[in-house]
Amino acid sequence: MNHHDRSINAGLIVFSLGILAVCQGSGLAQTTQTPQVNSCVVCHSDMQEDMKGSIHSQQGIFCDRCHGGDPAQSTKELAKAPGTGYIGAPSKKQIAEMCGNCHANVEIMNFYGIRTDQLAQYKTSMHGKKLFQGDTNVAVCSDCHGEHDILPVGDPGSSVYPLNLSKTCNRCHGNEKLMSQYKLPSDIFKIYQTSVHGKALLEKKDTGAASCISCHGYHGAVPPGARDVGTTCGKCHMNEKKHFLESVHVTASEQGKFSECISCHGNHEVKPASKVLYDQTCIRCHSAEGPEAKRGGEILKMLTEAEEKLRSTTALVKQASIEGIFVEPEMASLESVKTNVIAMAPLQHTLSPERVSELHKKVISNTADIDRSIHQKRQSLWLRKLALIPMWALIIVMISALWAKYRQLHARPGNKKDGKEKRS
Amino acid sequence: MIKGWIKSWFADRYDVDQIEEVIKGQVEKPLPENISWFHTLGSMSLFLFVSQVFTGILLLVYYRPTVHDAFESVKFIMTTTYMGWLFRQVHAWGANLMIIVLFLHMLRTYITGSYKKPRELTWVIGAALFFLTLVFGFTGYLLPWNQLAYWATTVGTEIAGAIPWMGNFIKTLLRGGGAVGGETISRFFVVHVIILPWVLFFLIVAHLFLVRYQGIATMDPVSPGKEPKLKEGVPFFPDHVLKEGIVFFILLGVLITLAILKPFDLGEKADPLQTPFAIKPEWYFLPMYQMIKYFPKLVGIFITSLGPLILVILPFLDRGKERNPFKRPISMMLGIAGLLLLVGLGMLGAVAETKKNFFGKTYEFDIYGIPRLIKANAGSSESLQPPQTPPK
Amino acid sequence: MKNTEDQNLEGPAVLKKEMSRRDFLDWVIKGGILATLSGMLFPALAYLWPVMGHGPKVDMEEVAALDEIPVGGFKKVFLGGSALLLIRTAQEIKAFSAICTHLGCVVDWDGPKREIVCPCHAGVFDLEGRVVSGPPPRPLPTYPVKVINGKVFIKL
Repeated sequence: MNHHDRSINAGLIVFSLGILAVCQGSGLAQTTQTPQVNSCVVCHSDMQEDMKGSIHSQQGIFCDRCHGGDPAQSTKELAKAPGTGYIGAPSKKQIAEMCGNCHANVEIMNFYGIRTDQLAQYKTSMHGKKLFQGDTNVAVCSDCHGEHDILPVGDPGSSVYPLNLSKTCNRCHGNEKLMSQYKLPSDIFKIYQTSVHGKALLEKKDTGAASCISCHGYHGAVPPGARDVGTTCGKCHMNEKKHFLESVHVTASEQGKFSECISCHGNHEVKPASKVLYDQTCIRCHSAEGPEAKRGGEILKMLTEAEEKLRSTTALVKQASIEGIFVEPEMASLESVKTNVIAMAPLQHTLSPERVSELHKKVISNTADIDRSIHQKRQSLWLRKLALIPMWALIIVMISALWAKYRQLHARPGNKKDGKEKRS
Repeated sequence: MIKGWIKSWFADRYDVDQIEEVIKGQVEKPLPENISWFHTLGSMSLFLFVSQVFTGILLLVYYRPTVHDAFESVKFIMTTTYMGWLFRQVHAWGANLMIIVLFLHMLRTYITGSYKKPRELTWVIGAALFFLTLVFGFTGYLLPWNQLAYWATTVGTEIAGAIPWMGNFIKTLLRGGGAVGGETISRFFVVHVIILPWVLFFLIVAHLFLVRYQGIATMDPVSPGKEPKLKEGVPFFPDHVLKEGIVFFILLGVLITLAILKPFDLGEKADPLQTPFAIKPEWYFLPMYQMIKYFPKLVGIFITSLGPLILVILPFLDRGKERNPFKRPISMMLGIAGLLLLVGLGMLGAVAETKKNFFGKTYEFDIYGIPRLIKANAGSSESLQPPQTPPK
Repeated sequence: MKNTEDQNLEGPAVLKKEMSRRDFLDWVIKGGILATLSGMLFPALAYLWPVMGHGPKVDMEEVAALDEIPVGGFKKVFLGGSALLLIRTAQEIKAFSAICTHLGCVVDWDGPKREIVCPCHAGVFDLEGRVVSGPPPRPLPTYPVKVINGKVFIKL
């Protein structure tokens, strides 16, 4: 090798060593790094169980990333020495910012495909505002997501998995002492459990049912104002909202005098909607004899009548099929009747008897047609049975005539060859 | 006048007098004095056969023998065609009545000893006619392709498959494949609609010819030589024909009444993936079906096939000379025993695997037809004997 | 057999009466047999006359004429006891069960949005029948369609 090449070689070696040193020294964003030695769990072995299943440790993110310190060191003094960045158990504000260091960093989270607006949202939420004002009684990331045992949101074991979430919220919002400091009720979860959403979520395990975050949001959790409630209910109950916006209550709602859904249906305690609401809720604002209550009564009457007609016609069709009548065309017709009856439920939110009567008329006329058709079929069955009477009349006439002929033949003496009276 | 003109047209070409004499001979044929109302059963069987052919042809116009269409086509016949429901019900009830009437006709023949010499062949053909009628019933039952049909055919062909040595071959041949399916419908359809009708037709012609040629048996004992021809007696027409007319109208009335008052359901379309509980064959197969349950497989099949065999070779087993039932105590006792066995097995088969109420108490019958008392409150059942497991 | 004349020594009036009674019986019997036979024949003939427009359901059922449905339009038909939705796209005709898989309401076609929408709880399906949004738990069943000579056939 000549002198020139030797210099280049040397340069390359120095350069590589330098790179290695830099890589060794820096501590941030090393997802491609081979798993480090984690000396922390040697002493803090109780933490290891929690950490083991967590999503962070699966991704190679260990103690030092939140607590600081040097996990490569083997003694406590060296591991937690100043300069290692050791902070011990972080304060709530530190937690928010520390989680945000990764989770609000687009370049870091890009690799995992996770959104990065949680911290920003959190800062707009009741929890976030209070925390950054100095109140440490409120929830921060770890209060909901866990500390060492954090699982992805979609994991059924996660404390924020839809089936578990309301219980997580209840940890604080069910604590009377804590809630009384903010003049908030502490029985919401109990109430929610009796509601139709709570039953659907907690008993029927329907993860599509509304829970705390569906209406209140999560990272940006605020109690929705009177106007906004309709928006949250309407996220799922779209047709009801659409029709409500066509009703007379809209102006009252915009003026804040009337909460779109809650005024009649309630919020946390919402039960399956029933016609009983017509009797119970209208009179909260309207007089029972007034024109408004009367209109409500008309709608109620139409709903009840339509449901009753559907029920009775369905029973008639079923009974006919048991009697042996072929009812396929009637059953096909019943499908569209059922559609109209079900569609009356969202439509009634228009609070307009005229609108509701459109569907009501269709239901009444269709069921009348079906009833008529079934009765016609029953009647033709009856006619068949009636036809048996003339048939048997003819048969009896024939039998009598034949028998009479038979007797006649045997009465004639010419029939017997040997003259003796014979009976066969 | 026209009648005369037609007659002379034929007289110019054919020996009309001879034909007329033959016809007159048949029409006025003398029947023995013991000719009774029970002797109308044979003609009633023939009437029912004709009725089945007639209604069957009508049904054929709209029926489609494929898995996809069979059920729908029967539904179409029952609901949309004019009076289609009547022809279908008459055909279904006619089949059941035909088997009953045939059986009664056989019973009459047994009791009057008419199967003995010289009429052994007539009896053998008659036994064949009876079994072929059962095959008619079996093949026809599948054609509506409803749940009942599909599963009864599956069970029936399974039992055929249990015959030793040839069983699997027979089962596959019957089914047209491994399981009951479109091929089965095709085969059963061909047998039911063209093969059996013609076979039965020729057998009936042979049977009737022999009956007419040899004459109705009397109550006299079997003659040592050839039987003398009857010279005098009750004229077939009008005496016996009038009896047949009366019975015919009653039978017709019963048939139509059953068709209207107790129509057969169409049920659900066949679903190979869903077996209904406690499949049973049609009532006329129940005695045999029940009998098989009580014995291990091969023994059961052997014993059950003894029945038909004995029936066919009866004239050669019973060589007694007497025809009069009162002079044949052993035959009568055997006959009654056989009848009781059939009825008993049939009833056991009907109640097996069902729950029935008697005098306020509920009984649950197992597959052998043995009842267990069930207490009124659900969940407890008091058994009169320990639960049995079927032998394998 | 007319040997009544030999036997009967009474006057012609009684003779007539007896003959007519016998004839009457014969007429009744003949008439009854005729009635029975025609009672069997005429229903059979009526049965044989084709039922127009209500053929039994065969492999493919004709449900519409192609011209009835504009491109981007739809038609609802009843078949096999249930409602079906036919939609004509630029390339083909698609057939879906019109019964929403949520609570059984009959769905509609939203032409401008090119979506199948259920009027009851705003369930939305795409042109493959898959659930786009809303409460329906399962996609809409589809049926094969053939268009022959301007007629639309569906196989159930």
